[in-house]
Amino acid sequence: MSNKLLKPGHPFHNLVLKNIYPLILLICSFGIYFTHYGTPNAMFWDENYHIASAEKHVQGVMYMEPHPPLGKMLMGLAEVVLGANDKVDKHKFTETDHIEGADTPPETKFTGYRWPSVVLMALSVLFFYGILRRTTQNNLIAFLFSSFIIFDNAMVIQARAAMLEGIQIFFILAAIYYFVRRATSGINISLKDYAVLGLLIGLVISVKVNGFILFLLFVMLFGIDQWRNILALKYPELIKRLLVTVPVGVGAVALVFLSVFYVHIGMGTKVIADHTYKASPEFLQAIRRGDTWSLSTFTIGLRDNLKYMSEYADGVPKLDECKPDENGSYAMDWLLGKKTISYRWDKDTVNGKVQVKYMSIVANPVIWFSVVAGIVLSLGLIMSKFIYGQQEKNTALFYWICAFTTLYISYMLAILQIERVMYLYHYLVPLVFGSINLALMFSYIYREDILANNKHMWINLSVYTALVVAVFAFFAPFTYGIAMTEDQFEMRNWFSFWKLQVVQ
Amino acid sequence: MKAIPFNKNIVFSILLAVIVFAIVNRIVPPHVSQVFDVVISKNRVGITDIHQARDIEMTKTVKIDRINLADKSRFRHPKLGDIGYSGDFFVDIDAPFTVKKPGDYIFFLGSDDGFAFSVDGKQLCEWTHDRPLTVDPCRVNLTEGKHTFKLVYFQGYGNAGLTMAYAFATDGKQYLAGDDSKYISF
Repeated sequence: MSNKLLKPGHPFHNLVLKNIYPLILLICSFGIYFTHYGTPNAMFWDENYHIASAEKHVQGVMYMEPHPPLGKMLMGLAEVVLGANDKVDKHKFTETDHIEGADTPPETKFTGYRWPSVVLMALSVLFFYGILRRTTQNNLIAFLFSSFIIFDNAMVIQARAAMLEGIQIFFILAAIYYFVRRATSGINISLKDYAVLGLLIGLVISVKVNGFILFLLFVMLFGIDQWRNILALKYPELIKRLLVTVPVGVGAVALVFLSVFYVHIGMGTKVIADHTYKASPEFLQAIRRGDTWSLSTFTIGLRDNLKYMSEYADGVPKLDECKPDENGSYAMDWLLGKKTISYRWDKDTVNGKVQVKYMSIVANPVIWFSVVAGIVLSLGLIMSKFIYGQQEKNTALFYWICAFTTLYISYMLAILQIERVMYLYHYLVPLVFGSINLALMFSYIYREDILANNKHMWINLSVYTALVVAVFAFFAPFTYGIAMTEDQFEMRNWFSFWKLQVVQ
Repeated sequence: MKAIPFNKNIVFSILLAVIVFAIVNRIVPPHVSQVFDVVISKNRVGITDIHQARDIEMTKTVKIDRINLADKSRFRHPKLGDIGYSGDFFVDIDAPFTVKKPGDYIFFLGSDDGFAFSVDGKQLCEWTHDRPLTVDPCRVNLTEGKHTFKLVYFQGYGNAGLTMAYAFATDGKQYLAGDDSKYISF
């Protein structure tokens, strides 16, 4: 190969530079998320619920759930396509909402149900990288900070399971990427952009309703779209634009959400005795008639599903930290990784020593603590501008920091209003916002060094990234269920407030 | 007045160094001075008596600084952690010590479950079967100079622990076995 090809500025060099980082990230991401994702060959935490629901899609059984059905539909689809359990009798999965060990034939594999979460989460790194590349305008910064989405122990354990977070984070990052791409392209924002953003947000909400937080992206898109009119306080123009953009954006969200429910209701052609989920008599009659795809049945079914979701949420207990086996935690405690949840453990005695395979959701403390530090710094920066009148040194970066800090703070404020018990993994969404914010904050603080290609700064950042990877590897036994002795467990029990519980 | 130069890269380097140091300090395996060789033997069958015939499955030797092995109601060193097996094991400690001041000494043996303790081949005290952690005083007159003690212990099932301390009878102040004093050194 000619040396000329690899010289900076040569189109081939630029092509390599453009693609080599995402390629490395993708390989790392699949290595971390996809490797042996079928283990443990047993369900843990909410898999017992989600697999029961996914299987109902496979077998055409009507069900209702507290979460919208898109995540489970994708799990069911992957289960059918991969066919890992084609010869397994899974009829008991449809007769319950929480699968017990006794309901599960020993030859059952979970690779199908877990596939969407694993693969979509592994692919998410491309959106994450794209977001950072476009906002920081630096490929290497984007590359190094993309390690956050690959090497966080909590994200990895959650996404390597038949759970909803991996699927939802993929759609969240897709929506943010689209928003960032449009905002940085320099082309006027059109109604099509509101519609596409709405479709992506619709997918997010169709997995879990906490995705409503992304409605803030509409507000931001509108701000970019109408920046001049906002500065000039041209209210009539703003209202005129709102009257068009709101129906387009919200309409797109509604279209996806309702379409997902339409398919969900249409596919539920069987009713299992005693599992009617408080469905109204007319809905049950329509199903028994085989009329599940009609618009009238959809209307009734949607009403019943939404009612069930609402009533279910009301019935979830509140957080009780005095309860000895309480797995939930207070939202403000999540920032530092409190409290971990033991999803499952398997105990064995090897050479007279007790060894335990833990599957626990544990934070990568380097990432989580850095994200909090990033939020504190960005709040200070925002205050310095809007309260103390300091001039920002890079306007574009400053407003991106404002955007992602707003998403993070708004999510946390919204969560704090919820009375039902919540869990550590509910922090994964703001952790994504906070991770992007940290990369932006770093770019803002070290702007001059980045532009000057300061070696000291790059060495520091490389060491920091290596630390992220090393700490991930250190806590990996909790993430992949690698056997540990009690001493090895204690070596990783860094903070008492994490409330990790040893098995003796 | 000159402003103090503030280099963000140096600050970041220092921060990284502090984090790395804290992590290394937290995860490096603990090390203690090697005063006693503790021979731990896993028995194939349950142990109910210190004198029962041994049927050893495996043996390991752990070097420790003090005989203070009752952390968290287990056969556990405060720094080294869990050094025993999950249950049904014997422990043998044979160690020399030097008496600096002749006279009456009291050895305090704490065990959960049984133990047998002898000095210079003469058994001073024992508890043959299981019990919760309890301390027995064993009195002996020792001449100045070198001696050896032998401590045998067993753990059956449940909680465990082994401690050994000594005191010069007229002084009364207790020292952990392994801690040198003006009376005894190990």
